[in-house]
Amino acid sequence: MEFQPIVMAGGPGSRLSDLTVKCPKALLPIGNKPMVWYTINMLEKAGFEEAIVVVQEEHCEEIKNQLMDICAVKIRLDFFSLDDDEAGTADVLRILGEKDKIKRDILILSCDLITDVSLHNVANIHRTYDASATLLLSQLPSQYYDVPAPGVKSKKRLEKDFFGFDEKGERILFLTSEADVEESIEMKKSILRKHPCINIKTKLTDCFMYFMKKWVIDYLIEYKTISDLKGELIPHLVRKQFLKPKKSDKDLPKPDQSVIVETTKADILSFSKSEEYADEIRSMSTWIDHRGDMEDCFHCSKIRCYAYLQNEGVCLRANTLSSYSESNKQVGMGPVKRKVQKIFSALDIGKDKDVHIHPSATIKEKSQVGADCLVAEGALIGERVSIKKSVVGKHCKIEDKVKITNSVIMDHVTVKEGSNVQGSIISAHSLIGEKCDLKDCIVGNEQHVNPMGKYTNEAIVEVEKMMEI
Amino acid sequence: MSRGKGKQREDLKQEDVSQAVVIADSFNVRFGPITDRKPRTLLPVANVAMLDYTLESLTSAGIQEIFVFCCHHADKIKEHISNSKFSSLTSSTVSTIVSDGCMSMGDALREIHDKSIIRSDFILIYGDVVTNANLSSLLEEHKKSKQTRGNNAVMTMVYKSCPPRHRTRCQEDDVVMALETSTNRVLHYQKVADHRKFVLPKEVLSSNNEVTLRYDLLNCQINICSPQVPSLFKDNFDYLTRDDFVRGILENEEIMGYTMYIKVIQDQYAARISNLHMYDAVSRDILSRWSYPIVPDNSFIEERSSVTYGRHNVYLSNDVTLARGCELEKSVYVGRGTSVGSNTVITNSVIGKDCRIGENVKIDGAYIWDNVTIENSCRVESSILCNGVVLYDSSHVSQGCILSWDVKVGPSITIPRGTRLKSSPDDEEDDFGEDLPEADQATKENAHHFGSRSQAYLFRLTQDPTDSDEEEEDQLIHDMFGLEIQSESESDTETDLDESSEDNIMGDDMDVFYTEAIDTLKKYKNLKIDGTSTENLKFEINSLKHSYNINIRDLYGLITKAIIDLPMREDANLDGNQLLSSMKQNLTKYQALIKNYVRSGESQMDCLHSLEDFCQTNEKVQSLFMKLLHHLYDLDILSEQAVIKWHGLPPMGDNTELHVSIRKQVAPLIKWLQEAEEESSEEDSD
Repeated sequence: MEFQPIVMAGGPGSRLSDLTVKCPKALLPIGNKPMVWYTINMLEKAGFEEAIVVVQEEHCEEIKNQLMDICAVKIRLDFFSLDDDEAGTADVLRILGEKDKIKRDILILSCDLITDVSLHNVANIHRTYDASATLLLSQLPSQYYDVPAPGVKSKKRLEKDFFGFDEKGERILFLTSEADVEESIEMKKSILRKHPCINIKTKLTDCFMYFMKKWVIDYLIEYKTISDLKGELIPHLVRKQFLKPKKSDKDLPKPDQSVIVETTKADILSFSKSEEYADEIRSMSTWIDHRGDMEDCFHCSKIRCYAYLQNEGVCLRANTLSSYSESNKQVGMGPVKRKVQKIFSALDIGKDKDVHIHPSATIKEKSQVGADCLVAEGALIGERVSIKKSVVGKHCKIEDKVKITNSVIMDHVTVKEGSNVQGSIISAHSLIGEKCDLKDCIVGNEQHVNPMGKYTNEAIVEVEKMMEI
Repeated sequence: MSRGKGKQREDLKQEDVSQAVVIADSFNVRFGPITDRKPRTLLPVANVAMLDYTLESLTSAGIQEIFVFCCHHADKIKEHISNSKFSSLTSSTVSTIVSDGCMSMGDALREIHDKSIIRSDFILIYGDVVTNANLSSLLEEHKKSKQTRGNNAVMTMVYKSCPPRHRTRCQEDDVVMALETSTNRVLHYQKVADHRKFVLPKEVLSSNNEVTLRYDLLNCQINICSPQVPSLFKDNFDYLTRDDFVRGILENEEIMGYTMYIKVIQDQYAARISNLHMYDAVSRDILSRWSYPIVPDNSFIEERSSVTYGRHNVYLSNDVTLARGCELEKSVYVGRGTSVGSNTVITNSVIGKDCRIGENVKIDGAYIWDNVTIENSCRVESSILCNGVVLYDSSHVSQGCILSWDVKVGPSITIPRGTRLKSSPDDEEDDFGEDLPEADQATKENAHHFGSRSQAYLFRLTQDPTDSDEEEEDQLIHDMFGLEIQSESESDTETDLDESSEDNIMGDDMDVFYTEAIDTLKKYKNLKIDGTSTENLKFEINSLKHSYNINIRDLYGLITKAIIDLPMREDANLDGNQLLSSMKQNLTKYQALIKNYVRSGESQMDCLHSLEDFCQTNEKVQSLFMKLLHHLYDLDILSEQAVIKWHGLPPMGDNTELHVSIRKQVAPLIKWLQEAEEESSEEDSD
């Protein structure tokens, strides 16, 4: 294969902390599947035969088990367990590089990406421009992030990134996050001269899918200060695109005594080796990436960052509470249901669009389960139950006269008679007492909510954990 | 034409009459001294007055009321219009507004506001714009867009897309704009000519989903304004130019709610002749037919009816006399009644009416107006020769010169680059055209003779003693249109520098500066060094200094070094005495230049240190070092105090060995100097 896929499934899920106490982030269910499955499934569909999955050591077995046994993944997975849970995403790449795991150009994916983008579209951009790094950006998600999140209300807003593109909207010329900008953004005139028309978009989300040249890993091994991929490495590469190659000695004026003697490390440009004939082919070809001047292709810059913009379809990163609960809904229903079903047509999710209820689930009389719901195997649903826009996990027991709307009910949850659950996430093995009323709440693993309880915008999680906070 | 679509009643009222305001004054003296006698808008471009181009595009677009606003030489403009076809058109009325006290476009608009002649949206254009754009459709578009943009859209500025460094892009109009991508609304506007960076305020990005930064726009100086524009100028007396206006509108956008948009034209031509460089560029564009149908062979001006168009863009009027063997290479326009002698070669030039051009003349990139006489074996490069100029035998006019009305030079003289000459010595009748506060002055330079039969006086902008002369130099450099190629290569290297600045090392700048300086010196090698050329050389080096941001103290050393280095670079095999003599020659030749920089004791020390460094890298120099010092001393560049002080300094770097050996080498000189000093001080004390 041309690319070596690496799935980053070792993240702590810090923004989903109420849910990840007992369950690693990668295994949080979305539409009754662990979220990492979607990424792996996408690779499988694209024809990849093997992938490296980076996981935390403690969760390794569990994830392996889930993927191999329960989801029956066919692709060959090489689990790489990390013993350091502080390592950033770029650190992970460095470790992989040092262990000599990386043989080719790489494709990095996050475990929380739910998308129907065709990988070959992104890869084609990468190939066309012989790019150093290619990103997948999407303008879709902002609508999902703005929905109210369950649990304790926070005032955190989605961080904006500013992406500057060239005229064609493919090359990234400039990248900065809004938080890093104080008052103004400076742009060098030399960049403007090469790219006199720059388009800056502010509503894009980096989907954490990167095609990258192998030399970038070599560079990471040499320069150890970079630890984050999205926040440090990518902006670094984008900036270095306009680095001018240092003049070799023979170009310098000879009797030049005023030069400061340099003791340089090999700079980034010396890492970026192009393939043997690539430069030559380019110089002979009439193809050029710009117009308006007589410069060579790419203005001779050796580092090039490009992006593929996804404008339609599904693209979500389930990395916040709101986007997590939203992605559950999106997968199960809504306007994008059919698309998702098409992509994830494996197993029980909608091979046939009516089968949103697993055959082994039991639903008693006079209950209503909306077509936009998913009910997993072995679920027991009592009488006069109403379930709308929700996902019900395996072996759940929903007793009579329960109302569930806009919620995620994970596996082995019991909801007692007469309760009302709205816009909430109920983690596995929890028990909701009789006639509870939960609105926009998070219920942690193995929690018991007392009967008659009324909660709004609360996180009902383990006490010890609360103490820690 | 407006009737046809007048469905909306409210628009009907507005669209009754289409108006345009032509500012027929430039409010500056860039074309001095030519503009002493004629306003800029009446100067010929491809043998037609600039104003005629503007009026032609307005009238052919069907603009009904055209107001020509003139201050300087208003009578001449009036006369010109009344003699032209524009005074007798039935579709359009062309009227002049005269105001003497106007100093800027802002003043003009205030005046227009007071006269309350503007009734609807109007075109605001300079009188020196050449365009083939469809102005009426631009006006229509502006009017229509108000429905979506609201009545507060006060101005649509017309730009042409055109990559940076295009010949027709005026350097002063080096602007980066931030636009709202979907609407082309102007969000931010910055002139970047003197900056290395474009600064975009954060809120522009935070409050917009998509922003386009554009650096590929050529300012056509055509603006479609809403009727409230003159009153906005009236309200803000500090608005002098359109730039002030744009800035003001953007700054107060939140308070006043006015917005501005741009319109980018792709296939049409529009450019303003705002300086000499643009004069050159636009003339070339017209000859190479970018501005079609505004081309010499199109008879929109009556007298042109007789021009024929040949291949290689050669335009000939019908009664031109061409002698056998003369060659019109390409892009040449020869006017009525002109004769060209044999073996004369002309390229990229415009020649006016009734000129006499002799034999064996070479003309390249020159603009020769009417009644000019050029005698045999003359050479003219990239210059403007006004009406009545005479070049006597074998004269040579270098690039970027202006020979104003009736100047006579020669015979057998070379006019150095960028010289501006006028025919009358000085002027009690301070008749300067477009005078600015820093009004120019012609200086009597009796020292300059431009040939035995010459009638020419040097014209220069005022030296303002209080101000450092940097600005003025910049101005001059901008204006020397002959030097375009060089200025481009300058900016080229600057670009490269920019890129490296992330891992910036000081040395880089110096290296490039040094090579450039050497190149500059080489260029002057074959020229005679006299007052003017030293001045010019100084300008060039100063401008290099600015563009590479060289510390003045580094400059002292670098210049001296470059002059010494020059012979070695030209011939690496030179040795010993040969080398020494050529170095000495160079030093003597450029002593005026060095002295200009190396004056104070401090600068002499810098110079010495730099030479010492030079020795460390170059053995030849090291061996000749003492003799060079001696020569510099003889030339009074270095004083004995400086040399002695330098000699006594402890080693600076780590190369103590060399330090000692150099000190040893120059010891005899020092001894001699000390003795000489003692002697002189003894003498003094006597």
